[in-house]
Amino acid sequence: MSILMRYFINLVALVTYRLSQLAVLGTLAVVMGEVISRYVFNSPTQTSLEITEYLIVTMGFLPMAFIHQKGGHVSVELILEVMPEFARNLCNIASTVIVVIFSFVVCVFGADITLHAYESGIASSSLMAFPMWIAYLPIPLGFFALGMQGLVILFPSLPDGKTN
Amino acid sequence: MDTITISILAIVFLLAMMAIGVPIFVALGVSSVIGIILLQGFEALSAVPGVMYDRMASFTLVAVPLFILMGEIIFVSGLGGDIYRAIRISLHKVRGSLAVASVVACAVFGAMCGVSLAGAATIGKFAIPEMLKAGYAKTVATGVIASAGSLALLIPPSVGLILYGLVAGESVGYLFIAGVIPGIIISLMMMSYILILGWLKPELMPAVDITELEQGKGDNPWIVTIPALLLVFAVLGSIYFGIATPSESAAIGCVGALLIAAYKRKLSWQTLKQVISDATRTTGMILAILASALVFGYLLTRLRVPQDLVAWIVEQGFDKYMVLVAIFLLLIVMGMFMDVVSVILIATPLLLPIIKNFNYDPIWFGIVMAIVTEMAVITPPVGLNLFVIQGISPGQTSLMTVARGSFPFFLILVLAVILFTIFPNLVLWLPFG
Repeated sequence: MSILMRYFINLVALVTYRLSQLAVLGTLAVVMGEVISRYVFNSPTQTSLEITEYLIVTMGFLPMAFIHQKGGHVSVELILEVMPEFARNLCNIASTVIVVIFSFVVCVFGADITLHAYESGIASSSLMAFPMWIAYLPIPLGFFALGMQGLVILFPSLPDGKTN
Repeated sequence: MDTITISILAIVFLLAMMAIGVPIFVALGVSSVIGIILLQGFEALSAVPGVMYDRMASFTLVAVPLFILMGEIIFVSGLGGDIYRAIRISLHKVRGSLAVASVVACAVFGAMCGVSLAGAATIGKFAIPEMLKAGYAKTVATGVIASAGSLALLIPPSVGLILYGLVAGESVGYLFIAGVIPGIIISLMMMSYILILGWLKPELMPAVDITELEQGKGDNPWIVTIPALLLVFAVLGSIYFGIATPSESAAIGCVGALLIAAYKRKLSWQTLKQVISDATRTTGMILAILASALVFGYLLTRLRVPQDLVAWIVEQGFDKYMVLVAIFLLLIVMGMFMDVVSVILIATPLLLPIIKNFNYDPIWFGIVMAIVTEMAVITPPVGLNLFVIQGISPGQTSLMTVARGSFPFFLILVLAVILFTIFPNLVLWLPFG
Protein backbone atom coordinates (compact mmCIF):
# COMPACT_ATOMS: atom_id res chain seq x y z
CA MET A 1 0.00 0.00 0.00
CA SER A 2 1.52 3.30 -1.03
CA ILE A 3 2.43 5.94 1.53
CA LEU A 4 0.03 8.40 -0.14
CA MET A 5 -2.83 5.92 0.11
CA ARG A 6 -2.03 5.16 3.74
CA TYR A 7 -1.87 8.89 4.49
CA PHE A 8 -5.24 9.43 2.83
CA ILE A 9 -6.88 6.59 4.79
CA ASN A 10 -5.49 7.84 8.10
CA LEU A 11 -6.62 11.35 7.20
CA VAL A 12 -10.17 10.06 6.57
CA ALA A 13 -10.11 8.35 10.00
CA LEU A 14 -8.90 11.53 11.66
CA VAL A 15 -11.41 13.79 9.91
CA THR A 16 -14.34 11.51 10.74
CA TYR A 17 -13.11 11.40 14.34
CA ARG A 18 -12.90 15.20 14.53
CA LEU A 19 -16.44 15.41 13.16
CA SER A 20 -17.67 13.08 15.88
CA GLN A 21 -15.90 15.21 18.50
CA LEU A 22 -17.82 18.17 17.13
CA ALA A 23 -21.00 16.09 17.34
CA VAL A 24 -20.35 15.49 21.08
CA LEU A 25 -19.91 19.22 21.67
CA GLY A 26 -22.85 19.99 19.37
CA THR A 27 -25.08 17.65 21.37
CA LEU A 28 -24.12 19.37 24.61
CA ALA A 29 -24.81 22.77 23.06
CA VAL A 30 -28.16 21.75 21.54
CA VAL A 31 -29.49 20.02 24.69
CA MET A 32 -28.29 22.85 26.94
CA GLY A 33 -29.83 25.35 24.54
CA GLU A 34 -33.10 23.45 24.79
CA VAL A 35 -32.90 23.41 28.61
CA ILE A 36 -32.37 27.18 28.73
CA SER A 37 -35.01 27.80 26.10
CA ARG A 38 -37.59 25.64 27.88
CA TYR A 39 -36.93 26.35 31.54
CA VAL A 40 -35.63 29.92 31.42
CA PHE A 41 -37.55 31.44 28.51
CA ASN A 42 -40.50 29.02 28.67
CA SER A 43 -40.24 28.58 24.94
CA PRO A 44 -39.21 25.04 23.92
CA THR A 45 -37.70 24.65 20.47
CA GLN A 46 -39.18 22.41 17.78
CA THR A 47 -35.91 21.13 16.44
CA SER A 48 -33.47 20.22 19.21
CA LEU A 49 -34.74 16.67 19.70
CA GLU A 50 -34.41 15.90 16.00
CA ILE A 51 -30.95 17.46 15.72
CA THR A 52 -29.62 15.43 18.64
CA GLU A 53 -30.89 12.23 17.01
CA TYR A 54 -28.80 12.99 13.92
CA LEU A 55 -25.83 13.86 16.10
CA ILE A 56 -26.01 10.61 18.07
CA VAL A 57 -25.87 8.63 14.81
CA THR A 58 -22.83 10.69 13.82
CA MET A 59 -21.16 9.94 17.17
CA GLY A 60 -21.83 6.22 16.79
CA PHE A 61 -20.46 5.61 13.31
CA LEU A 62 -17.92 8.27 12.37
CA PRO A 63 -15.27 7.57 15.03
CA MET A 64 -15.18 3.80 14.39
CA ALA A 65 -12.10 3.91 12.13
CA PHE A 66 -10.06 6.10 14.47
CA ILE A 67 -10.98 3.99 17.50
CA HIS A 68 -10.01 0.84 15.56
CA GLN A 69 -6.69 2.44 14.60
CA LYS A 70 -5.97 3.09 18.29
CA GLY A 71 -7.08 -0.43 19.29
CA GLY A 72 -9.96 1.02 21.28
CA HIS A 73 -12.73 -1.40 20.30
CA VAL A 74 -13.54 -4.02 22.90
CA SER A 75 -12.66 -7.62 22.12
CA VAL A 76 -12.17 -10.83 24.07
CA GLU A 77 -8.42 -11.39 24.29
CA LEU A 78 -8.34 -14.16 26.83
CA ILE A 79 -7.94 -17.02 24.36
CA LEU A 80 -5.51 -15.07 22.16
CA GLU A 81 -3.21 -14.53 25.13
CA VAL A 82 -2.69 -18.25 25.68
CA MET A 83 -2.15 -19.03 21.97
CA PRO A 84 1.31 -19.53 20.44
CA GLU A 85 2.53 -16.49 18.51
CA PHE A 86 1.93 -18.00 15.07
CA ALA A 87 -1.71 -18.84 15.89
CA ARG A 88 -2.19 -15.42 17.44
CA ASN A 89 -0.91 -13.69 14.29
CA LEU A 90 -3.18 -15.85 12.19
CA CYS A 91 -6.17 -14.91 14.36
CA ASN A 92 -5.25 -11.23 14.11
CA ILE A 93 -5.18 -11.46 10.31
CA ALA A 94 -8.49 -13.36 10.23
CA SER A 95 -10.01 -10.82 12.61
CA THR A 96 -8.95 -7.88 10.46
CA VAL A 97 -10.21 -9.60 7.28
CA ILE A 98 -13.59 -10.06 8.98
CA VAL A 99 -13.61 -6.38 10.02
CA VAL A 100 -12.86 -5.32 6.43
CA ILE A 101 -15.52 -7.56 4.84
CA PHE A 102 -18.18 -6.60 7.38
CA SER A 103 -17.36 -2.91 7.01
CA PHE A 104 -17.67 -2.96 3.23
CA VAL A 105 -20.91 -4.97 3.34
CA VAL A 106 -22.55 -2.44 5.69
CA CYS A 107 -20.97 0.41 3.72
CA VAL A 108 -22.51 -0.83 0.45
CA PHE A 109 -25.99 -1.35 1.92
CA GLY A 110 -25.71 1.89 3.88
CA ALA A 111 -24.71 3.75 0.72
CA ASP A 112 -27.69 2.15 -0.99
CA ILE A 113 -30.24 3.58 1.47
CA THR A 114 -28.38 6.92 1.49
CA LEU A 115 -28.45 7.15 -2.32
CA HIS A 116 -32.08 6.11 -2.39
CA ALA A 117 -32.94 8.86 0.11
CA TYR A 118 -30.96 11.37 -1.98
CA GLU A 119 -32.49 10.40 -5.32
CA SER A 120 -36.02 10.26 -3.91
CA GLY A 121 -35.58 13.54 -2.05
CA ILE A 122 -36.71 11.91 1.21
CA ALA A 123 -36.87 14.39 4.08
CA SER A 124 -37.88 14.07 7.73
CA SER A 125 -41.58 14.52 8.39
CA SER A 126 -40.91 17.27 10.94
CA LEU A 127 -40.91 21.05 10.48
CA MET A 128 -37.20 20.86 9.69
CA ALA A 129 -37.81 18.64 6.65
CA PHE A 130 -34.20 17.53 7.06
CA PRO A 131 -32.78 15.66 4.02
CA MET A 132 -32.52 12.07 5.23
CA TRP A 133 -29.52 11.23 3.05
CA ILE A 134 -27.44 13.49 5.30
CA ALA A 135 -28.80 11.69 8.36
CA TYR A 136 -27.93 8.27 6.87
CA LEU A 137 -24.51 9.36 5.55
CA PRO A 138 -22.50 8.65 8.76
CA ILE A 139 -23.28 4.92 8.36
CA PRO A 140 -21.64 4.29 4.94
CA LEU A 141 -18.96 6.89 5.64
CA GLY A 142 -18.06 5.43 9.04
CA PHE A 143 -17.95 1.87 7.75
CA PHE A 144 -15.99 2.91 4.64
CA ALA A 145 -13.38 4.57 6.87
CA LEU A 146 -13.33 1.47 9.12
CA GLY A 147 -12.91 -0.90 6.16
CA MET A 148 -10.07 1.18 4.75
CA GLN A 149 -8.45 1.37 8.19
CA GLY A 150 -8.71 -2.41 8.35
CA LEU A 151 -6.80 -2.61 5.06
CA VAL A 152 -4.05 -0.38 6.46
CA ILE A 153 -3.74 -2.70 9.46
CA LEU A 154 -3.96 -5.81 7.29
CA PHE A 155 -1.21 -5.03 4.80
CA PRO A 156 1.70 -4.94 7.25
CA SER A 157 0.37 -8.25 8.57
CA LEU A 158 0.88 -10.05 5.27
CA PRO A 159 3.73 -12.57 5.28
CA ASP A 160 5.75 -10.82 2.57
CA GLY A 161 6.51 -8.12 5.12
CA LYS A 162 5.66 -5.16 2.90
CA THR A 163 5.08 -2.65 5.65
CA ASN A 164 6.14 0.57 3.87
CA MET B 1 -32.95 -23.89 6.74
CA ASP B 2 -35.13 -23.83 9.86
CA THR B 3 -34.97 -21.01 12.38
CA ILE B 4 -33.47 -23.13 15.17
CA THR B 5 -30.49 -24.14 13.01
CA ILE B 6 -30.00 -20.51 11.94
CA SER B 7 -30.15 -19.37 15.58
CA ILE B 8 -27.57 -21.94 16.62
CA LEU B 9 -25.31 -21.05 13.67
CA ALA B 10 -25.53 -17.31 14.45
CA ILE B 11 -24.62 -17.88 18.09
CA VAL B 12 -21.79 -20.30 17.20
CA PHE B 13 -20.36 -17.76 14.71
CA LEU B 14 -20.64 -15.05 17.36
CA LEU B 15 -18.73 -17.10 19.95
CA ALA B 16 -16.13 -18.29 17.42
CA MET B 17 -15.40 -14.76 16.24
CA MET B 18 -15.16 -13.43 19.77
CA ALA B 19 -12.76 -16.27 20.60
CA ILE B 20 -10.32 -15.23 17.84
CA GLY B 21 -10.32 -11.62 19.03
CA VAL B 22 -12.71 -10.02 16.52
CA PRO B 23 -14.00 -6.75 18.04
CA ILE B 24 -17.30 -7.53 19.76
CA PHE B 25 -19.30 -5.06 17.67
CA VAL B 26 -18.03 -6.69 14.48
CA ALA B 27 -18.65 -10.21 15.82
CA LEU B 28 -22.23 -9.24 16.64
CA GLY B 29 -22.65 -7.59 13.25
CA VAL B 30 -21.21 -10.48 11.23
CA SER B 31 -23.27 -13.14 13.02
CA SER B 32 -26.35 -10.97 12.41
CA VAL B 33 -25.46 -10.62 8.72
CA ILE B 34 -25.00 -14.39 8.38
CA GLY B 35 -28.29 -15.02 10.17
CA ILE B 36 -30.17 -12.51 8.00
CA ILE B 37 -28.72 -13.98 4.78
CA LEU B 38 -29.68 -17.52 5.83
CA LEU B 39 -33.16 -16.39 6.85
CA GLN B 40 -34.12 -13.95 4.11
CA GLY B 41 -31.33 -13.81 1.51
CA PHE B 42 -28.83 -11.13 0.48
CA GLU B 43 -31.46 -8.53 -0.42
CA ALA B 44 -32.58 -8.39 3.20
CA LEU B 45 -29.20 -7.00 4.26
CA SER B 46 -30.49 -3.47 3.69
CA ALA B 47 -32.16 -4.06 7.07
CA VAL B 48 -28.73 -3.85 8.73
CA PRO B 49 -28.08 -0.10 8.23
CA GLY B 50 -31.84 0.50 8.46
CA VAL B 51 -32.14 -1.07 11.92
CA MET B 52 -28.92 0.60 13.05
CA TYR B 53 -30.24 4.03 12.08
CA ASP B 54 -33.82 3.64 13.28
CA ARG B 55 -32.91 2.33 16.72
CA MET B 56 -29.88 4.56 17.26
CA ALA B 57 -31.61 7.84 16.40
CA SER B 58 -33.06 8.17 19.88
CA PHE B 59 -33.11 11.11 22.29
CA THR B 60 -32.77 8.68 25.23
CA LEU B 61 -29.34 7.72 23.94
CA VAL B 62 -28.17 11.34 24.08
CA ALA B 63 -27.65 10.83 27.83
CA VAL B 64 -24.81 8.36 27.10
CA PRO B 65 -22.24 10.75 25.56
CA LEU B 66 -23.25 13.55 27.92
CA PHE B 67 -22.87 11.48 31.10
CA ILE B 68 -19.58 10.10 29.78
CA LEU B 69 -18.39 13.65 29.07
CA MET B 70 -19.50 14.71 32.56
CA GLY B 71 -17.55 11.80 34.06
CA GLU B 72 -14.42 12.73 32.10
CA ILE B 73 -14.64 16.35 33.27
CA ILE B 74 -15.13 15.27 36.90
CA PHE B 75 -12.22 12.84 36.49
CA VAL B 76 -9.83 15.74 35.76
CA SER B 77 -11.47 18.22 38.14
CA GLY B 78 -9.95 16.78 41.32
CA LEU B 79 -13.40 16.42 42.92
CA GLY B 80 -12.77 12.73 43.66
CA GLY B 81 -9.77 13.59 45.84
CA ASP B 82 -11.72 16.32 47.68
CA ILE B 83 -14.58 13.97 48.49
CA TYR B 84 -12.27 11.20 49.65
CA ARG B 85 -10.30 13.56 51.90
CA ALA B 86 -13.42 15.03 53.53
CA ILE B 87 -14.90 11.63 54.33
CA ARG B 88 -11.60 10.22 55.51
CA ILE B 89 -11.09 13.09 58.00
CA SER B 90 -14.65 12.78 59.29
CA LEU B 91 -14.32 9.04 59.86
CA HIS B 92 -10.74 8.95 61.16
CA LYS B 93 -11.73 7.56 64.58
CA VAL B 94 -13.29 4.47 63.03
CA ARG B 95 -11.19 1.32 62.61
CA GLY B 96 -10.75 0.86 58.88
CA SER B 97 -11.60 4.52 58.26
CA LEU B 98 -9.60 4.78 55.05
CA ALA B 99 -11.36 1.77 53.52
CA VAL B 100 -14.79 2.99 54.65
CA ALA B 101 -14.02 6.46 53.29
CA SER B 102 -13.03 4.85 49.98
CA VAL B 103 -16.41 3.11 49.70
CA VAL B 104 -18.32 6.32 50.46
CA ALA B 105 -16.13 8.34 48.08
CA CYS B 106 -16.64 5.78 45.29
CA ALA B 107 -20.40 5.83 45.89
CA VAL B 108 -20.55 9.65 45.76
CA PHE B 109 -18.25 9.67 42.73
CA GLY B 110 -20.52 7.08 41.14
CA ALA B 111 -23.41 9.50 41.59
CA MET B 112 -21.56 11.96 39.37
CA CYS B 113 -20.05 9.60 36.84
CA GLY B 114 -21.62 6.64 35.08
CA VAL B 115 -18.51 4.59 34.35
CA SER B 116 -16.97 2.29 36.98
CA LEU B 117 -13.39 2.61 35.75
CA ALA B 118 -13.31 6.36 36.36
CA GLY B 119 -14.42 5.98 39.98
CA ALA B 120 -11.98 3.19 40.72
CA ALA B 121 -9.10 5.03 39.05
CA THR B 122 -9.84 8.43 40.58
CA ILE B 123 -10.38 7.38 44.18
CA GLY B 124 -7.80 4.60 43.95
CA LYS B 125 -5.09 7.06 42.93
CA PHE B 126 -5.34 8.78 46.34
CA ALA B 127 -6.73 6.06 48.56
CA ILE B 128 -4.53 3.04 47.76
CA PRO B 129 -1.17 4.74 48.48
CA GLU B 130 -2.62 6.19 51.73
CA MET B 131 -4.00 2.83 52.85
CA LEU B 132 -0.71 1.10 52.08
CA LYS B 133 1.21 3.86 53.88
CA ALA B 134 -1.05 3.38 56.90
CA GLY B 135 -0.17 -0.32 56.92
CA TYR B 136 -3.35 -1.76 55.38
CA ALA B 137 -3.04 -5.19 53.81
CA LYS B 138 -2.60 -4.89 50.05
CA THR B 139 -5.53 -7.21 49.38
CA VAL B 140 -7.81 -4.96 51.45
CA ALA B 141 -6.56 -1.68 49.95
CA THR B 142 -6.88 -2.82 46.35
CA GLY B 143 -9.98 -5.00 46.75
CA VAL B 144 -12.00 -2.23 48.41
CA ILE B 145 -11.35 0.25 45.61
CA ALA B 146 -11.89 -2.23 42.76
CA SER B 147 -15.22 -3.30 44.27
CA ALA B 148 -16.51 0.07 45.47
CA GLY B 149 -15.58 1.57 42.09
CA SER B 150 -18.07 -0.82 40.51
CA LEU B 151 -20.91 0.94 42.40
CA ALA B 152 -20.96 3.47 39.54
CA LEU B 153 -22.60 0.78 37.41
CA LEU B 154 -25.61 0.80 39.71
CA ILE B 155 -25.77 4.24 41.26
CA PRO B 156 -27.33 6.70 38.80
CA PRO B 157 -26.35 8.14 36.37
CA SER B 158 -25.17 4.74 35.15
CA VAL B 159 -24.42 4.35 31.44
CA GLY B 160 -25.27 0.64 31.75
CA LEU B 161 -28.78 1.49 32.98
CA ILE B 162 -29.30 3.88 30.06
CA LEU B 163 -28.35 1.14 27.59
CA TYR B 164 -30.57 -1.39 29.37
CA GLY B 165 -33.44 1.11 29.30
CA LEU B 166 -32.99 1.62 25.58
CA VAL B 167 -32.84 -2.08 24.68
CA ALA B 168 -35.59 -3.09 27.12
CA GLY B 169 -37.82 -0.15 26.21
CA GLU B 170 -38.00 0.94 29.86
CA SER B 171 -37.88 4.43 31.35
CA VAL B 172 -34.28 5.46 32.07
CA GLY B 173 -35.61 7.90 34.68
CA TYR B 174 -37.32 5.07 36.60
CA LEU B 175 -34.19 2.91 36.31
CA PHE B 176 -32.05 5.72 37.72
CA ILE B 177 -34.41 6.26 40.64
CA ALA B 178 -34.67 2.51 41.25
CA GLY B 179 -30.86 2.30 41.50
CA VAL B 180 -30.61 4.73 44.43
CA ILE B 181 -31.73 2.52 47.34
CA PRO B 182 -29.86 -0.63 46.17
CA GLY B 183 -26.78 1.56 45.68
CA ILE B 184 -27.04 2.85 49.25
CA ILE B 185 -27.75 -0.62 50.67
CA ILE B 186 -24.78 -2.22 48.89
CA SER B 187 -22.52 0.64 50.01
CA LEU B 188 -23.68 0.06 53.61
CA MET B 189 -23.10 -3.69 53.26
CA MET B 190 -19.56 -3.05 52.00
CA MET B 191 -18.87 -0.63 54.86
CA SER B 192 -20.29 -3.06 57.42
CA TYR B 193 -18.02 -5.79 56.11
CA ILE B 194 -14.99 -3.48 56.42
CA LEU B 195 -15.93 -2.51 59.99
CA ILE B 196 -16.42 -6.15 61.00
CA LEU B 197 -13.13 -7.14 59.35
CA GLY B 198 -11.36 -4.26 61.13
CA TRP B 199 -12.78 -5.45 64.43
CA LEU B 200 -11.97 -9.14 63.84
CA LYS B 201 -8.57 -8.67 62.22
CA PRO B 202 -7.22 -5.27 63.28
CA GLU B 203 -3.78 -6.14 61.87
CA LEU B 204 -5.23 -5.85 58.35
CA MET B 205 -6.30 -2.24 58.97
CA PRO B 206 -4.15 -0.45 61.55
CA ALA B 207 -5.44 2.78 63.17
CA VAL B 208 -4.51 5.91 61.21
CA ASP B 209 -2.71 8.94 62.56
CA ILE B 210 -4.71 11.64 60.82
CA THR B 211 -2.28 14.46 61.72
CA GLU B 212 0.41 12.73 59.71
CA LEU B 213 -1.82 12.63 56.62
CA GLU B 214 -3.14 16.16 57.06
CA GLN B 215 0.01 18.16 57.75
CA GLY B 216 -0.46 21.83 56.77
CA LYS B 217 -4.11 21.42 55.74
CA GLY B 218 -6.17 23.28 58.32
CA ASP B 219 -9.25 24.11 56.21
CA ASN B 220 -12.69 22.51 56.59
CA PRO B 221 -12.53 19.58 54.14
CA TRP B 222 -16.29 19.60 53.45
CA ILE B 223 -16.37 23.14 52.04
CA VAL B 224 -14.59 22.13 48.83
CA THR B 225 -17.02 19.22 48.31
CA ILE B 226 -20.13 21.46 48.29
CA PRO B 227 -20.03 21.98 44.49
CA ALA B 228 -19.76 18.22 43.97
CA LEU B 229 -22.72 17.51 46.24
CA LEU B 230 -24.74 20.27 44.57
CA LEU B 231 -23.95 18.69 41.23
CA VAL B 232 -25.23 15.29 42.42
CA PHE B 233 -28.45 16.88 43.68
CA ALA B 234 -28.88 18.91 40.48
CA VAL B 235 -28.50 15.84 38.25
CA LEU B 236 -30.44 13.27 40.27
CA GLY B 237 -32.93 15.74 41.76
CA SER B 238 -33.95 17.09 38.37
CA ILE B 239 -34.70 13.52 37.20
CA TYR B 240 -36.41 12.42 40.43
CA PHE B 241 -38.73 15.41 40.59
CA GLY B 242 -39.52 15.12 36.89
CA ILE B 243 -38.04 18.54 36.13
CA ALA B 244 -35.73 17.29 33.39
CA THR B 245 -35.22 14.17 31.30
CA PRO B 246 -32.03 12.13 31.90
CA SER B 247 -30.53 13.63 28.71
CA GLU B 248 -31.29 17.18 29.86
CA SER B 249 -29.96 16.52 33.36
CA ALA B 250 -26.81 15.09 31.75
CA ALA B 251 -26.31 18.36 29.87
CA ILE B 252 -26.87 20.33 33.09
CA GLY B 253 -24.36 18.04 34.82
CA CYS B 254 -21.78 18.59 32.05
CA VAL B 255 -22.04 22.37 32.30
CA GLY B 256 -21.93 22.18 36.12
CA ALA B 257 -18.85 19.94 36.00
CA LEU B 258 -17.19 22.30 33.51
CA LEU B 259 -17.84 25.29 35.78
CA ILE B 260 -16.46 23.43 38.83
CA ALA B 261 -13.36 22.30 36.93
CA ALA B 262 -12.82 25.85 35.62
CA TYR B 263 -13.27 27.30 39.13
CA LYS B 264 -10.74 24.82 40.50
CA ARG B 265 -8.36 25.86 37.69
CA LYS B 266 -8.14 22.31 36.39
CA LEU B 267 -9.46 23.11 32.92
CA SER B 268 -6.66 24.08 30.55
CA TRP B 269 -7.20 24.03 26.79
CA GLN B 270 -5.09 20.87 26.63
CA THR B 271 -7.19 19.19 29.33
CA LEU B 272 -10.40 20.17 27.60
CA LYS B 273 -9.20 18.65 24.32
CA GLN B 274 -8.21 15.47 26.14
CA VAL B 275 -11.58 15.28 27.91
CA ILE B 276 -13.52 15.65 24.65
CA SER B 277 -11.26 13.14 22.90
CA ASP B 278 -11.66 10.53 25.66
CA ALA B 279 -15.42 11.05 25.82
CA THR B 280 -15.71 10.67 22.03
CA ARG B 281 -13.70 7.44 22.05
CA THR B 282 -15.65 5.88 24.91
CA THR B 283 -18.95 6.95 23.37
CA GLY B 284 -17.97 5.66 19.92
CA MET B 285 -16.86 2.32 21.37
CA ILE B 286 -20.14 1.88 23.28
CA LEU B 287 -22.39 3.05 20.44
CA ALA B 288 -20.65 0.73 17.95
CA ILE B 289 -21.48 -2.25 20.16
CA LEU B 290 -25.00 -0.92 20.63
CA ALA B 291 -25.56 -0.53 16.87
CA SER B 292 -24.55 -4.14 16.19
CA ALA B 293 -26.37 -5.46 19.26
CA LEU B 294 -29.54 -3.82 17.96
CA VAL B 295 -29.16 -5.69 14.67
CA PHE B 296 -28.46 -8.90 16.57
CA GLY B 297 -31.60 -8.26 18.64
CA TYR B 298 -33.52 -7.71 15.39
CA LEU B 299 -32.29 -11.07 14.09
CA LEU B 300 -33.23 -12.86 17.32
CA THR B 301 -36.71 -11.36 17.11
CA ARG B 302 -37.10 -12.40 13.47
CA LEU B 303 -35.99 -15.89 14.42
CA ARG B 304 -38.39 -15.80 17.40
CA VAL B 305 -35.54 -16.99 19.66
CA PRO B 306 -36.72 -15.22 22.85
CA GLN B 307 -40.30 -16.45 22.35
CA ASP B 308 -39.17 -20.02 21.63
CA LEU B 309 -36.87 -19.92 24.64
CA VAL B 310 -39.74 -18.80 26.87
CA ALA B 311 -42.01 -21.52 25.42
CA TRP B 312 -39.34 -24.16 26.01
CA ILE B 313 -38.77 -23.09 29.62
CA VAL B 314 -42.51 -23.10 30.31
CA GLU B 315 -42.84 -26.51 28.65
CA GLN B 316 -40.11 -27.96 30.86
CA GLY B 317 -41.96 -26.70 33.91
CA PHE B 318 -38.88 -25.19 35.56
CA ASP B 319 -39.35 -23.47 38.89
CA LYS B 320 -39.13 -19.67 38.55
CA TYR B 321 -36.33 -19.40 41.13
CA MET B 322 -34.38 -22.08 39.29
CA VAL B 323 -34.72 -20.07 36.08
CA LEU B 324 -33.66 -16.92 37.89
CA VAL B 325 -30.57 -18.63 39.33
CA ALA B 326 -29.72 -19.96 35.84
CA ILE B 327 -30.07 -16.42 34.41
CA PHE B 328 -27.83 -14.94 37.11
CA LEU B 329 -25.21 -17.65 36.56
CA LEU B 330 -25.30 -17.04 32.81
CA LEU B 331 -24.82 -13.30 33.36
CA ILE B 332 -21.92 -13.89 35.76
CA VAL B 333 -20.22 -16.25 33.31
CA MET B 334 -20.78 -13.78 30.44
CA GLY B 335 -19.35 -11.03 32.62
CA MET B 336 -16.23 -13.07 33.26
CA PHE B 337 -15.37 -12.97 29.55
CA MET B 338 -17.06 -9.82 28.18
CA ASP B 339 -17.25 -6.16 29.08
CA VAL B 340 -20.29 -4.82 30.87
CA VAL B 341 -21.77 -3.03 27.84
CA SER B 342 -21.66 -6.19 25.74
CA VAL B 343 -23.21 -8.29 28.51
CA ILE B 344 -26.14 -5.88 28.90
CA LEU B 345 -26.72 -5.43 25.18
CA ILE B 346 -26.47 -9.12 24.25
CA ALA B 347 -28.29 -10.59 27.24
CA THR B 348 -31.21 -8.16 27.58
CA PRO B 349 -33.14 -9.03 24.39
CA LEU B 350 -32.67 -12.75 25.12
CA LEU B 351 -33.48 -12.79 28.81
CA LEU B 352 -36.06 -10.04 29.26
CA PRO B 353 -38.96 -12.01 27.72
CA ILE B 354 -38.24 -14.85 30.18
CA ILE B 355 -38.19 -12.40 33.07
CA LYS B 356 -41.49 -10.86 31.94
CA ASN B 357 -43.00 -14.31 31.51
CA PHE B 358 -42.34 -15.03 35.19
CA ASN B 359 -43.95 -11.69 36.12
CA TYR B 360 -40.77 -10.06 37.34
CA ASP B 361 -40.61 -6.30 36.87
CA PRO B 362 -38.26 -5.21 34.03
CA ILE B 363 -37.06 -2.23 36.12
CA TRP B 364 -36.17 -4.63 38.95
CA PHE B 365 -34.35 -6.88 36.47
CA GLY B 366 -32.38 -3.91 35.12
CA ILE B 367 -31.14 -3.11 38.61
CA VAL B 368 -30.30 -6.73 39.43
CA MET B 369 -28.51 -7.04 36.11
CA ALA B 370 -26.48 -3.93 36.97
CA ILE B 371 -25.46 -5.59 40.27
CA VAL B 372 -24.46 -8.76 38.43
CA THR B 373 -22.37 -6.70 36.01
CA GLU B 374 -20.71 -5.15 39.08
CA MET B 375 -19.59 -8.67 39.90
CA ALA B 376 -18.28 -9.00 36.35
CA VAL B 377 -15.85 -6.08 36.65
CA ILE B 378 -14.22 -7.56 39.76
CA THR B 379 -14.02 -11.15 38.53
CA PRO B 380 -11.02 -12.52 36.59
CA PRO B 381 -10.13 -13.04 33.82
CA VAL B 382 -11.75 -9.92 32.25
CA GLY B 383 -12.57 -7.87 35.34
CA LEU B 384 -11.69 -4.40 34.09
CA ASN B 385 -11.57 -2.82 37.56
CA LEU B 386 -9.01 -5.43 38.63
CA PHE B 387 -6.71 -4.38 35.79
CA VAL B 388 -7.15 -0.68 36.52
CA ILE B 389 -6.39 -1.12 40.21
CA GLN B 390 -3.42 -3.34 39.42
CA GLY B 391 -2.17 -0.59 37.10
CA ILE B 392 -2.46 2.28 39.58
CA SER B 393 -1.28 0.42 42.69
CA PRO B 394 2.22 1.41 43.81
CA GLY B 395 4.91 -1.27 43.70
CA GLN B 396 4.40 -4.79 42.44
CA THR B 397 0.74 -5.80 42.71
CA SER B 398 -0.48 -8.98 41.08
CA LEU B 399 -3.91 -9.33 39.54
CA MET B 400 -4.60 -12.17 41.96
CA THR B 401 -3.94 -9.88 44.94
CA VAL B 402 -6.63 -7.48 43.73
CA ALA B 403 -8.96 -10.38 42.85
CA ARG B 404 -8.48 -11.96 46.29
CA GLY B 405 -9.23 -8.63 47.93
CA SER B 406 -12.36 -8.22 45.80
CA PHE B 407 -13.73 -11.69 46.48
CA PRO B 408 -15.50 -10.84 49.79
CA PHE B 409 -17.18 -7.94 47.97
CA PHE B 410 -18.23 -10.33 45.21
CA LEU B 411 -19.98 -12.37 47.91
CA ILE B 412 -21.59 -9.17 49.24
CA LEU B 413 -22.97 -8.51 45.74
CA VAL B 414 -24.30 -12.09 45.60
CA LEU B 415 -25.98 -11.46 48.96
CA ALA B 416 -27.42 -8.21 47.61
CA VAL B 417 -28.90 -10.00 44.57
CA ILE B 418 -30.53 -12.56 46.90
CA LEU B 419 -31.82 -9.74 49.12
CA PHE B 420 -33.35 -7.79 46.22
CA THR B 421 -34.85 -10.98 44.78
CA ILE B 422 -36.56 -11.80 48.07
CA PHE B 423 -37.54 -8.17 48.67
CA PRO B 424 -38.05 -6.63 45.20
CA ASN B 425 -39.78 -3.64 46.78
CA LEU B 426 -36.40 -2.43 48.00
CA VAL B 427 -35.75 -1.70 44.32
CA LEU B 428 -39.23 -0.72 43.21
CA TRP B 429 -40.41 1.34 46.17
CA LEU B 430 -38.68 4.61 45.21
CA PRO B 431 -39.80 4.77 41.56
CA PHE B 432 -43.30 3.37 42.10
CA GLY B 433 -43.97 3.82 45.83
